[in-house]
Amino acid sequence: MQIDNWIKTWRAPLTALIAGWGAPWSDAAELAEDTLVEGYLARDSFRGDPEDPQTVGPWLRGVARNLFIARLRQSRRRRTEPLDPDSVAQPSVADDGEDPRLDDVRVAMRNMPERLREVLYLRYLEESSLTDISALLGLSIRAVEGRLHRARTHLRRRLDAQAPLAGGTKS
Amino acid sequence: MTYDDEDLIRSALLRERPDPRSFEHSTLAKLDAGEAQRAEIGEEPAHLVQAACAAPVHLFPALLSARSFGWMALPVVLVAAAGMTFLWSLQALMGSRPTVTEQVAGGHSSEILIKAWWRRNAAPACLTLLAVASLAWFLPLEAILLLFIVSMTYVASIVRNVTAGGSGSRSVVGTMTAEFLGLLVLVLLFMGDLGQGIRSAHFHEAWIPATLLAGAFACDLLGSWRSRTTPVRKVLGWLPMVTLIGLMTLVVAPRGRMIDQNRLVAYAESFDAPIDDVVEWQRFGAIRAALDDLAVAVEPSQPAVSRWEGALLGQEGDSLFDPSLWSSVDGAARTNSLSLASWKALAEDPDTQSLLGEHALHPSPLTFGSRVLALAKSGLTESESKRLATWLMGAWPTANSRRPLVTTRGIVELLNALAQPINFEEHVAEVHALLQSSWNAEDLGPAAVSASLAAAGLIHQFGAPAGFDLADMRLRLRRLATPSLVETLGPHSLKYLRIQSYRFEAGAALELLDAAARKSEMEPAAAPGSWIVSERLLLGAALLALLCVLSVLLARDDSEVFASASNE
Repeated sequence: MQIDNWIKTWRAPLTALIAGWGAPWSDAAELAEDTLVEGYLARDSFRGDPEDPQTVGPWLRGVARNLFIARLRQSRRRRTEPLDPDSVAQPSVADDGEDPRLDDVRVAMRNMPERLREVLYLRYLEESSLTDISALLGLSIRAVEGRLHRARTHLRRRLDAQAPLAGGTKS
Repeated sequence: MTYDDEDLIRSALLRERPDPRSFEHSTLAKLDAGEAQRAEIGEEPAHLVQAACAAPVHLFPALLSARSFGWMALPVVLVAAAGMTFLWSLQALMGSRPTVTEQVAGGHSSEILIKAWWRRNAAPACLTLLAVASLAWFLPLEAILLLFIVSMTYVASIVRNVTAGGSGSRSVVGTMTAEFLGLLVLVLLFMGDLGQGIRSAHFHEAWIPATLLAGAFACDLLGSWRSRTTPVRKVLGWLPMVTLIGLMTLVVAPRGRMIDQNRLVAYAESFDAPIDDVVEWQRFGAIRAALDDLAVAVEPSQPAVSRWEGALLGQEGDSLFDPSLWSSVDGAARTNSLSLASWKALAEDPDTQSLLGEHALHPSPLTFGSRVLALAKSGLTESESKRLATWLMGAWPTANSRRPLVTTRGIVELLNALAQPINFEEHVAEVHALLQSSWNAEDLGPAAVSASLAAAGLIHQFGAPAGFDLADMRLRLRRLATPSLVETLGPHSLKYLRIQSYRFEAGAALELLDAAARKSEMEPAAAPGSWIVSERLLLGAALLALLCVLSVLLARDDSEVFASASNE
């Protein structure tokens, strides 16, 4: 098993998954790195094909979840670096020339239910395959497709409820 | 939603994409550091490292520092830690490995956390564990139970606050309490003697570990009620413990159980010791006499008989007149299984015949016990019997005499052999007074069991004096009559690894006490409410199990803990 392959395959899905749980994007990337390291170090206890997403995905998701919870607890204890889903993943100030609708999209996604947000992040951060998403979420591909549909519909409703987006096309 | 919307989402997330190069670089650097750290930790066996990781390292320090009385949690915490390490090692070795990462904090290597905690707390933790183990050795079981109940009450009282603070959760508390109770069950099965001499118990002693085991199951089930653990996995997790308990119940517990009548008979029928092993022969004689009192049929031990007869008839060259052998001879004489030739040889010995002479008799008749028995077997005239009986009664001990109970018992035995039984009505008060003044429970140890066996023999014949604490006597005797596991597993040929003979003496004493109780119903009627005292072990076990269950229920659910940590 090559760590390089794991990094290439799981970098974006893990980052998106952890951000979907409410971690700031910078923390999400760091936790994704930690997840790969912890998983790789404990590879001896992993039973299954390390190259098969269907077996590696749930394993890495479990490691990531524990790391995420532990990070929440740590930040709570230290109280110097709050890690609050409502206060993290804040959209930064729009870059010059950036479409102003993007901030609305980010806010709307941040306020979505976790189940829907994570699947949107997973799919659109780096176009992860439905196979990888289904492996990470422990769902069938059909269920992932259904959830994606619901997430997009939910997002559209939120956006519609906010100020109408200039140039946005309603479905 | 349209493709435009999807493009919007892509665009919104575009800047959040992790940079592949820096991500890879950072991951590989962390991996190198992690592998170096792992190498630094040492090359401990993987199952031990995993077992150590099983301990809820967050919960323990939080419990210990929750209030100023944190040390009160130590007994439960340390026993739980020992139990978890042991059982999780077993699970890891058997392959039903639990998810370690559910129990430990991420972000740091779990091994590092364990090592750090033990580095800080190793000395007080080891001292306390040692103290608890020492107490278990010296104190009665009910005292240990009380200690755990107090400790568990403290743990239950603070566990909600502790789990609310993010240290552990219901599943962690459930695991901890389940394995704490599980280890207690194993220890109890290992000990074997659960009744602790409480004769009037209404329930079988097996209810005590059964209650604790039920509590362990309840704690584990309640702790994992809403966890993601599947029922199959849960059953697999319990498999090693159930297997171990089953094995101990089938193999170890019966071997380690108290000496009973069957084992006494087996001991008497296979006894074999060198003729100069005075202590062993004395004990053998006393046990055989007790079995005779109990009217238990015992086949003669052929090795013992041949040794004795060889010595007596001069075939082995041992001198019958060597004073150091008299005790062995007395012991053998009490076995009531010698040949007529042996008795005749002993009766015709000049020293034996001198007892029938006109000159003054030896002031200490018990050292001539075997000779009196031989004379009794050879057929004495009534006047000779009466003279010997008077001589024996002249040696009746007082409280200040040496070994007064053993002497009294010996005199009574010899009088019976001479067909000159003691006047019961006349001497019962004396015997009772002697029992009250001479039997001291505090002095009861392996070297002094013979006094207790003699006392039990006297109680069997004369009844127990009023106010005599028979329950306490049984309690102490039962402990002495319960062999350790090493004794039961060791080869019989190795003197210090086989069941020690004083345990058979204690077992014989218990049998005599039970027979006496059956014979005369000497024990006073139970006072109202006395069942609480007699069932204190079972009640204590139930209370401890309930406290464990309560602490699991008081702990916050895993999702609550997660939510509270998230919302802070």
